[in-house]
Formats: sequence, C-alpha cells, structure tokens
Amino acid sequence: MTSPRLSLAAALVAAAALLLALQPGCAKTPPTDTGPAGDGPKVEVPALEKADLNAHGSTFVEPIMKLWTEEFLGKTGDKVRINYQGGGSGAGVTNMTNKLSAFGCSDLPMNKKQSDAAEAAGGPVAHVPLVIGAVVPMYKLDGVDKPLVFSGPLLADIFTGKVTRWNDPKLAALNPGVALPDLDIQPVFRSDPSGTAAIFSDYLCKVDDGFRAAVGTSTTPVWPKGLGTAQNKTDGVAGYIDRSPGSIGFVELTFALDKKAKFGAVVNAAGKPVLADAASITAAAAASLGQKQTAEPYSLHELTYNLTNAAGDGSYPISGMSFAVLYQKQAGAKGRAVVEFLKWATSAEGQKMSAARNYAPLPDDLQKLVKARLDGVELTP
Amino acid sequence: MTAPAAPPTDPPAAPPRPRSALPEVVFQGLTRAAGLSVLVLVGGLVLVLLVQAWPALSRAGEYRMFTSSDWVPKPADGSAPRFGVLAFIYGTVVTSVIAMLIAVPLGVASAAYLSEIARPRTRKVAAFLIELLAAIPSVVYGFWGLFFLAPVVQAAFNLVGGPNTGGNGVLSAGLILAIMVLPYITAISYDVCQAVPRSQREGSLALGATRWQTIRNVVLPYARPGIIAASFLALGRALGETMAVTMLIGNQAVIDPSPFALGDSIASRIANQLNEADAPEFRSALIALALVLMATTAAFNVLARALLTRLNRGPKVRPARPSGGPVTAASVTAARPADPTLVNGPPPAARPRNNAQVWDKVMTRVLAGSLLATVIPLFLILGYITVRGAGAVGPSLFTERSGPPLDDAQYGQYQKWQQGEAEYPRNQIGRPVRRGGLGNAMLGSLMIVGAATALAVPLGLLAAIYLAEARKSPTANVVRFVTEQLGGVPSIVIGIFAYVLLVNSTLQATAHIVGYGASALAGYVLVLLAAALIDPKAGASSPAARALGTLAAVLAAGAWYAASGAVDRAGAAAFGPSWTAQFGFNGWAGAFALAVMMIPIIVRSAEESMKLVPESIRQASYALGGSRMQTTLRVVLPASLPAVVTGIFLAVGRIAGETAPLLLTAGGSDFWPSSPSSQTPYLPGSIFSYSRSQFADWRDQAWGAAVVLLSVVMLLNVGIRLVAGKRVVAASRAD
Repeated sequence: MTSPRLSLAAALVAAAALLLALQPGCAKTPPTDTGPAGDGPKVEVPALEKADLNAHGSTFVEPIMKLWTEEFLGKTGDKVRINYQGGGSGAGVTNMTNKLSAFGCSDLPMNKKQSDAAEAAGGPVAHVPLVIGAVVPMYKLDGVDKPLVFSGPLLADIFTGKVTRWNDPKLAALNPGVALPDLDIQPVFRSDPSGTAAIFSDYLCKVDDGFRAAVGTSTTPVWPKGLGTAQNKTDGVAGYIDRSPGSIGFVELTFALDKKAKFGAVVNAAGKPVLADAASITAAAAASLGQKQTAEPYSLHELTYNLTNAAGDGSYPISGMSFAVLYQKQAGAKGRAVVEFLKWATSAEGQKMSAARNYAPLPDDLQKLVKARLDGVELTP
Repeated sequence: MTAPAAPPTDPPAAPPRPRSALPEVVFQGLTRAAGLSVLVLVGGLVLVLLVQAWPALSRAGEYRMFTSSDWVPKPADGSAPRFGVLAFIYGTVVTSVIAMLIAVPLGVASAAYLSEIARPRTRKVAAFLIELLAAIPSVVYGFWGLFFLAPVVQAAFNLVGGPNTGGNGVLSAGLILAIMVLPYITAISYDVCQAVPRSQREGSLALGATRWQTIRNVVLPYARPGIIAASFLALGRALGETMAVTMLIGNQAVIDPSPFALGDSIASRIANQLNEADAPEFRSALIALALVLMATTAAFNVLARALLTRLNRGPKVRPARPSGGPVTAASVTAARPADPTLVNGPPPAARPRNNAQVWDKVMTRVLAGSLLATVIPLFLILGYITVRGAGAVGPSLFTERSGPPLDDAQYGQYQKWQQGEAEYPRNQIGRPVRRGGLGNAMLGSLMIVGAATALAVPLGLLAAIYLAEARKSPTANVVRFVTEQLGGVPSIVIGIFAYVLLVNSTLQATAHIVGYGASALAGYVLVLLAAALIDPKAGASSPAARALGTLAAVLAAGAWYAASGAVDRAGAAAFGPSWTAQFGFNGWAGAFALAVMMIPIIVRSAEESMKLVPESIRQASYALGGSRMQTTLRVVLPASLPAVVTGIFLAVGRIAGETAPLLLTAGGSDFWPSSPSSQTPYLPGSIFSYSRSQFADWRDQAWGAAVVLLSVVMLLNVGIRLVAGKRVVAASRAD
C-alpha cells in the first residue's frame, strides 16, 4: 500500500515545513532588568522560605494574578512559586475548601453552604478583597462608534429576550441621534458558573422586578431557553463577541478595555448614564464601604461589600469586588508565603500594578483594613 | 474474574506442553495476570462510575433526570437542584446523526472510488492523506472549527436569513464531527470493499456491467454489513467526542429542532462543569452522565463488532477470526445479502448501453468528487493552521515558560521591537515584560506521555502475549472482547475514572480500591500458578483450577476487607497526614488516564503481529526443546518486534494530542514541571485555553502550539509509515 519513497518525501516536506516555521524572524534578546522597577511605591517583602503553591479561581483576576505571581517570584528571589490557574470562582472556592489550593479567588463571598463546608473541613475562612472591577455590557456593532447608553431594565429586557433588535424604540430613546442598525441582538451568556454572572444578575434583580422573579441572582442564572449563546469562561464570551457582529454580553471592564471593545454606559441609581472607569468604580466602592451589609452572602464575612446599584452621581452601578479566600489557620512556609503574597498584592505597590492593568485599586482605607485582617491570620510553624 | 468451564487453552496444532520449571510458570502467571488485570481495570472503571453515579441515579426521579431537559445544579432560590439530562442526550445524538448523514455517504463513496476505480498512485496518496486526517488531535479540529468553520457556517446562515450565532451550534458541531469520523469510515469501508472476492467483480464485468453497475450491484451489497459496522464504530467515536464539540456547540442546555440551534452534548457538559462541581450531588449527576455516554457508545461498538464478525465469517472473505461479541438478530439479517445475484436479480445487462455508460461516467466523477471532499478538509486545516501559526513559532515559544499575557498594546510593541522598530515593551510597573512561551507545557506533555507509555507498554505487551498464546480460551476471548470495548470508551469517561481514583481521592481510598482489585487478581493467578506447578500437563487450564482460583479471588478480597483496619493504621503511621489528604491535580493521574487509552491499541497491534509469526517457527523452537517462555521471548517477540514498536508509536501518536482526560486530571501550571506528582502543564490544554483568549499574545501562542503539536503528530505518523510501511488507520483503530 505504501512506497517508502513517497513517505520519505512526505517526511522531508513535513520536516522542511517545521524548520521553516522554526526559523526565527529575528532572534533578539529582550533587555534584562532585574533591578527595582521604575517609579511608584515600593513595598518590601520579608525574607521567605522556599514554597511551591497552587491556587485556582476567578478568571477575572487571572491576568493580574499572573503579573503579581511573576513579580512576587522575583521579589522573593525565585523562592515562592505561586501557580495560579483560572478555573472560575466556583473552582477556586471548591479547591480551597478541599485544600487542593493554598488559596482561592472568587468574585463573590462564599455563601452559607460553602462556609459551612469549609468550616467543617478546615475551620473559619478569611476573605481578602483583592481588586475592584466592573461588569460592562460589551457588544459588537459595526458602524456605531459612540458608546451606547443602556438602563438596567433595558439590559434585563435584552438578556431575557424581550428586546430582540438593535433598533428597538427603548434603546433608541436612550440613545437619541444614534443610527441603530436593523439587526438581531445576539445575547452571549457564560456557560460556566461565574462571579461575573452573579454581579450582573444581582444588579438586574435590584433594578427589575420581572428579572428577579424570572431569573434571580446566581452564579449560573437560568436564562430563558433558546435565547442567545453561552460560552465558556470570560475568554470565550469576549472572544465570541469579538467575532460576531450584533452580539452583546457581559464581561469585566478589564477585558473590554484590553480588547478596546465597545461597551455601553449604564444609567445609575441617581439616574445618570455612567461609563465604567477606575474613577466611577472607586466612587461606587467609596459609597458602599461604610454601609453595613445585610444580605447574604455579604453579611456573613468581614470586608465583603456589595457594590451593585451604589448611590452617588458618579458611581458606576455594576461594580463588584473580587476576593481571595483562605483558611484562617495557615501552617508552615506555604502559609506564610500565602499571607505575605496577599499582603503585598493588596499593598500600594500591588495595587498600582492592578490599576495599570485597568482594575480599580482598593481605596486606601480598605487597604489598611485588609492588612489588619491578614495580620490576624493565625500562622503555625 | 470468572470464566465458564473451558476446553484446554492450546490451539490444536500446539505441541505438548514442555516440562514446567518455576521461571516458566512465573512468566505464564505474569502474562496471565496482565491479561486479567485489563478485566480488573475495566471492571474497576465500571464499578467506580456506578458507585459515584449512584447517589444521583438512585434519585433520578426526584431530579427528573431522564424526563426533562431542566439542568439547574445550583438554583438561585436555594431550592433542590434539577438534573434533567435530555438536552445533552439530544445534542449528542443530533450532532452524531448530522455527522453520520454527511460522513457515511461521502466515506463509502470515497472508499468505493479508492477500491474500485482509483489508480494505484491515487490510492497511495489518498490513503496517506486520510491517515493524516485521522491523526489530527481533536483540540486542533476544534480550534480550526472555531476560527474557520464557524464563520463560514455563519455566512451561510446570513445567506438564508438565519439568526446570528457566530456559526456556533449543533450544525457546526455536527460538521466538525463529520470531518473527524470520515477517515475512519473511509478506511474501514475500503478494507471491506477490498475483501469482496475478485470473482464477484469479474463475473459482473464479464456480463457487460459497467464499473458503476459493478460497484452498485456487486461490491456495495456484498460489503454492506462491513460498511454498517464501520458506521457504527464511527458513530461510537462521534458520540464520545469532547473537545471539538465543546468548542463549537454553544453550550446551551436546550432542545431546539431548528437547524440554527445551539445545544450541548454529554461529553461537553462534563468537561465544562466537573472541575467546578462543588456539591456532591452535582458531581454525581455529571458522573451519571458519563455512565450514560459509556453505555451508549459500548452498545454501538458491540453491535459493530458483531456485524464485522458476521462479515468475516461470510463466504470466502477471509479466514474466520475469533468471535467477539454476541450475535444479534440485526447482524444476521444484515449479513444476509452476501450473494448479490439473489438480492438484486440478474445482472443489469438489459439496460440500454449508452445510458449505462453515461451513468458510469457521471457516477465515476461523483465518486471521485467524494474522495476529493474527504481529503479537502485536511488541506484546509493544515493550511489554515500553518498560515496562522507559522509566524508564531519563535524560539521563545520553546524556551520560555507560561507567563502573564501581554495586553494588545504591549504585544503590538513587542512585535515592532522584533522588527527593530520600537523599544522593548515594559510592563505596568516599568519592568521589561517577559513574553511567555509554552516550553513548560511541551515538557509537561512529554512527561505525561512518557509516564503513560512506561505504564502502558509493559502491561499491554504482557497482556498481548497472554492473548496470543492462549488464543481461543474462553478467558482470553473475554479479555480480548473487554480490551476492544475499552478502546471504544470515550476519553472523557476515562478521564473521570482517573479523576475519581487519583485526583478527587485520598491515598487511603485509592489504596483500598486498588487493594481489593489486586488481591483478588493475585488470589486467582496464584492458585492457577500452583496448579500449573503441581500438574504441568493440564495445570492452569483445568476447570477445577479455575473454580478454585475464583474462590481464592473472592477469599483474597475478603481478606483485604478483614485487614482494612490494620492497613489504615499502617498507612496513617507511614504516610502521616498525607494518607487522608486529597491528591489534587497531578501529572500521574493524567498519565494513568492516557495509559488506559493506550492499552487497547498496544494489545491489539501486538497480538495481531504475534499471531502473524508463522506457526512453523514456533514449532521449530519447541522441537529444539525451547520452553514456552523461551519461544515467546526469543523467537516470537523478536520476529514481531517491528510491528509491536509500530503499535506503540501509534498509541503515542493517538494520545499525544489528547486533551479531555487531562482537563480533569493534570491541572496545568505556569512553571517548569519537576515531577508528575505535582500539577503538570500540557500542550493541548494550553491550546484549548489560549485559543479562546481575548489576548492576541495568547492566541498567537495557541496557533504556534497547534503547529508544533500537528508537526509532532504528523511526523510520528509519517515516521511509522517509513518504518512499518503499512496503513496506519487500519492498525490503530481499536476494532
């Protein structure tokens, strides 16, 4: 069936193709620069022992986590290797609870059931705010350059299939003078449980009774059947929108900014349309910080604030906080490494990195509270 | 494992059993244990899945599992979860049906063209291309589907006024499945067509029939049972396919008969949600899904095997092969039209000749067109991925470990810097960025695949020796059948097995599961060994020894149960807290899953090649006083070595791009892997997650990695052809 010559020729062609592909365009060496980085605040990290640890969780914090872990590796003289794999907030909490992760990252505080499970498995859990983010309606609409304005109830209508065309009168009323195309709206959902969906649905529940009755707040909301498409992870949703004109989804602000994608402004509790940015999110956080949390899961822990539909003219209404969750009792070199890492990440230096990465930094007051909370974590040798 | 009472295991031609010495008996015990351990493995797989799925299955009514499509694992209002799986079953079936509707006609037409019309040169080239198509990893199919097929499908939707789904959905998933199973249908159908006796064709042609009339009235009817079997085997594959489907189907738990609909399949749902299933009932429901999937694919595989067996027993086709599965009524009726003249009446000499010749010409073109349509996707996939990926394959892809993604501005500047047009980009705190690569994932993949090979090769070879020597013993038949079935188990199901056993488990639990299996196996084999020592002549094959062995197996398992308390104490003392700590994701679990996938391929190819060693050579060895062990190790194995090595490389090629089981086991890492006992990165997983990234940096790395993975797999396949000079698909498919 085979002639060796043919196979040989094929092998040569394949090898040649591979070599051609390997040909480095121009092999240049990047500059090496291990000294202290540019300007900005410096926060020293105490000397730590060697530690390898795994962490899982929110894909929202994944880009900044990878930057933080990389920088922290250098800061500890290549001693503390933190392997962060974004598998979603659910995976972060589950793996932390089962002690498969040194810590987990979640876009939502742990609920009662999760807290009880963790309490049984390893005692009380500390919540550490890491960054503040926002969920924005990201869309792909060719020919419309100005950011569209949405209201909460309108978003609820779009994501429950009540508004199906881009030239719907409700959308036109909020966007006078914009030539809206006559095109199907293709909503894009998350197929996996996510904190993004939880913040988004939490907001829609607060502003739309119909949505609260039909869908509710959940990491996996039950969207109307047959509507739109669901994609796995933020990557999947953002990538899908990027490829599909007429689609709209909800993604984190950082992703939309990185993408330079179009996303809309949202009318806030004070009736003002606000575009998400660091200032408007920090405003929402500042407005919410002093308030006592009454609703679960926010009321179950310290330092967990619900930021959706915050008061204030300048507040962006779909904001949320991401947390690291870890056991209150930490042992050995690994435990110490985790606590020092989180202290550094929430310090002025770590937060400067996150701000440059389009996350809103924690307000100074909150940074102090976080440090005090981390100082309270019990370390055993 | 028990077997019915049996006649002696030796084939009639075998020489009298030589005098038994201890090493001889130990060798036989070892091979027998390896053969039986496949049974224990598969038994363990089924048992583990059943136990894990039971909490959900036992409450199937309450969850409305098989009566609704309502899949709500975590209801917002805190009510009881609902696990209706009908939408996933629907999605799985519909995508597979779409795939079969396209792939069966195309595949059969291509096979007919290749077998009956094509020139030898065309045949060679086409067979080679089809083999390459079969070797492409499914994550690469999915990647290509996402960026090439889906936009094309969406463009078609736009033409007919369909909705905007980005081309995702059931139709795209069905199309990609069709492309994926086409090589299997074509290759097996080709074999079957080739098996049609020459005399049949010559008779038809001699009566004045055209080529097309011969194909339609003689070859295809004669080959029909084999073609149906090929279709069933392909169907089994399509049903269990995970990665390509999950990347394209849209992941919506709905039943929507529209051709534009989104959906979800069983395998896709498991891959998406198992790692996040925090509630026990949620995990249990997902494992119940896996059980449904495995049962369905097994049913189709058994059916296919029964059909092939019937065909092989048919008149003058091939020497009869050992029977596999049970003979069903369907297979009997399907096998009947072996004699075309009875079914189709006299040869169609009465037709007007001109008309027939026109038809012949038209149909020849149609068949040739089918062959073209079968191999075109190969060029589309290779071409598209090379074009997009070749530029992304730079030194840093191999030398750097995974790093933080460069944002698009940084990446743009990085590319300019490479052209010498810009400063090196700096990160958010003014440090030069580190552009990550996938060197760590490549090394991790090597480690996992290497470990899997090291686990699977000894076991697979010993089991193959057992099967080749025991031939038609009932136990051997059972082992052979079960091994073949294992080859048809969807990879995601094997991934779950490894996940339950080696990830979401403790040393304590796994020690006990393995303990029961191993002690029962040891009990059985030791008794048979003793029997062989006491009575070398009848020895291990006597019914009494088997019965005694079974009893010993039960007793040994019971002894383990009795000793389990002591084992726990000893374990806790020896391992400390890690005795009861969860394993977590680790490379060994991934290697174990891949090893389980390799075993059927290695066993099959090794057994086939050992059976091909002429009986006279064996006889000569025995005549010179060689023992069984000496004959096997010094005569049979060396003679079949090239083919055995080919089989091993085939198995490696098949698992090198495997993704689904590793998603559930290996865990991934940003660092260079040091040992498989920690979380290990792997290349196909990086392609899967980077391919959907919104960072151009990561997407480019995914394209580059796809080029690397494709090159490795292609070179492996081309290399095998160079060494073995035989058709690869035929040898690799586990039927």
